[in-house]
Amino acid sequence: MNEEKIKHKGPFAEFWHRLKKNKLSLVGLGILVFFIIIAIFADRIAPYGYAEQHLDKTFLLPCKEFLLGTDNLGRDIFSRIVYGSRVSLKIGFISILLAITAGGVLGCISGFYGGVAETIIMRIMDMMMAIPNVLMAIVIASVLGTGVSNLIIAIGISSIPSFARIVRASILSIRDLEYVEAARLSCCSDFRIISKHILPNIMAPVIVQATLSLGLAILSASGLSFLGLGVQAPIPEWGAMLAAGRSYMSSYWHLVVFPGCAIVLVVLGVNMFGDGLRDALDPRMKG
Amino acid sequence: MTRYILKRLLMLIPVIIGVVFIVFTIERLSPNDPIRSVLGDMASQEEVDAMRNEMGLNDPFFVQFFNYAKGIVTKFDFGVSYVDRQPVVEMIKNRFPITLELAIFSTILAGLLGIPLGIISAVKQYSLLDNVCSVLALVFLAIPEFWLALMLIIVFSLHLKVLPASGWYGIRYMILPIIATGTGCVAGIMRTTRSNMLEVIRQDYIRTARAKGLKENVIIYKHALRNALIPVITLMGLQFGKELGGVFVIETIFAIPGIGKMLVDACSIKNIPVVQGGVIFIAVAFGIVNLIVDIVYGYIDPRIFASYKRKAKKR
Repeated sequence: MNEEKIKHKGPFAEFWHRLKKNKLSLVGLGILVFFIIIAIFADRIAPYGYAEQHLDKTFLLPCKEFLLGTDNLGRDIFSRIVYGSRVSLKIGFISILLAITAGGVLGCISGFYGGVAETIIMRIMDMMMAIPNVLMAIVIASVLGTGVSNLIIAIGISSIPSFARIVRASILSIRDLEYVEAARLSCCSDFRIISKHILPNIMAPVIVQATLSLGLAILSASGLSFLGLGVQAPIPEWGAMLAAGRSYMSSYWHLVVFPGCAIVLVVLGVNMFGDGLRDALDPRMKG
Repeated sequence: MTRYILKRLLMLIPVIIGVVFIVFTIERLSPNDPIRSVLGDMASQEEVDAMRNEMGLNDPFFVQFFNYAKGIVTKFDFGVSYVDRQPVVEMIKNRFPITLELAIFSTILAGLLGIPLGIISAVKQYSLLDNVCSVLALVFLAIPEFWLALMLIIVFSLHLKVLPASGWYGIRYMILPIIATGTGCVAGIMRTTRSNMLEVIRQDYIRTARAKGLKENVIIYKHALRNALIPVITLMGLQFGKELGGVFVIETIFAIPGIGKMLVDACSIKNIPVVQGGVIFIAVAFGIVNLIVDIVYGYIDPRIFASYKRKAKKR
């Protein structure tokens, strides 16, 4: 049906056509979009406020009034999960954006110019990579203190090296191609060569890495909040909700089951979409 | 070969120095006074000042860094914990065996389950088993290990009451933490084995082996598997290295006195010497595990050793 349109629509349509063939990735995209919509309209979807307490109705099991039950302060778990999607997605997206920007700039400098700058930047990246990601995030988060923005910074910084490496490696592979030479000969500035000629051609691996890192970022954010190093009460972060519910889980399973399901669902969606993107954008990268 | 190992070990040194510097700098960026956070709000200003002096925190940054590095190089001294003044080296020595056990067992679990499942899925591609395994692997990769741990505790400790939920005193205590850490790895290893096997069994030399009339088992296990295993070994090495650094959340949930719990505890009260020592130790362990992985490559794929030798001769 779309075959004819593709011919006129260019690379994006072709990519969409390939992505559409992969059912799993469409499901993943659907889940992701679903959570984004929930996050945007959280205040309309949630029946109660995230900090609204019903002290006479604590520890209720799922029922008509409270879809997923209530916690130790009588707060509606469903509403808290709905609001929590805002926090988790915000942390995930912004921290990856931060990592792409910083890692991209560092990768461009070291890939395009080479020389001393490359050596220094890449050695520093090697050193950062010698420390496992999560540990790096834990150390940075503990130094900066708790809070959403500090968590974003911690996760963002710890994911910089992987982006710097990917951008550098991709630039190295196309830096000496003819069209870059041609751009140089026609007196383009370095900035123009990088932004107009090089970056559009290395976007595929970066986008794939970004999607797969998004899932990891959401997982780390909930892990750090679970350890008490991330988002603090009463902000409804899923990991923090699990940590709070843990003390009561011997008698009230619903406090720890549902927030966890939300994490699993989002990360599953992101990963499925990421796998599909990888196959559609760059058939050579399999994993 | 010895030269190669020595060269790699030498290359670790600048990385370690860099790690020491990075961690040292990050820890000094903290806006709060670590001593105040360790001693608590009840401590008087004099007590805080006295301890700051004792720990050398009033010296200029580079003097502090130099003293710290000097201590490590000359006396293998990573400082003492702010809380009970126990040497950091001792703390790591006591806790490392526990983390090591957890890492070894969960990596073994991951390999024993993940590799065979990956092979079967690849050989019987698109079969029911393959589809079930692939979907399960996707789901398990998305499950945060700490949530899996909580679910395991609810089912096996709180309801069935068959396994303990905290501590580290014997095999029975290890089962749940090992499952919680290992499951994600099983999924990862299964997927990597599957995709690599699929790539390898389509190659010409496998067709040749089939044409020779070799048995399918010999083809899969002797000819295909060895070539497909390299990326799997990399992944297992990475996982193992990460777990050596402590499975932070799992150790905290199950109250396992390992490196991970030590670091989380130290981070939350800003016990800086412990954090620094722990991170440096982990970076070294990570580097050594990577080196071992590279050596293991050589045994699985002799061509890799051969290429080292060729390079060495050229020089």
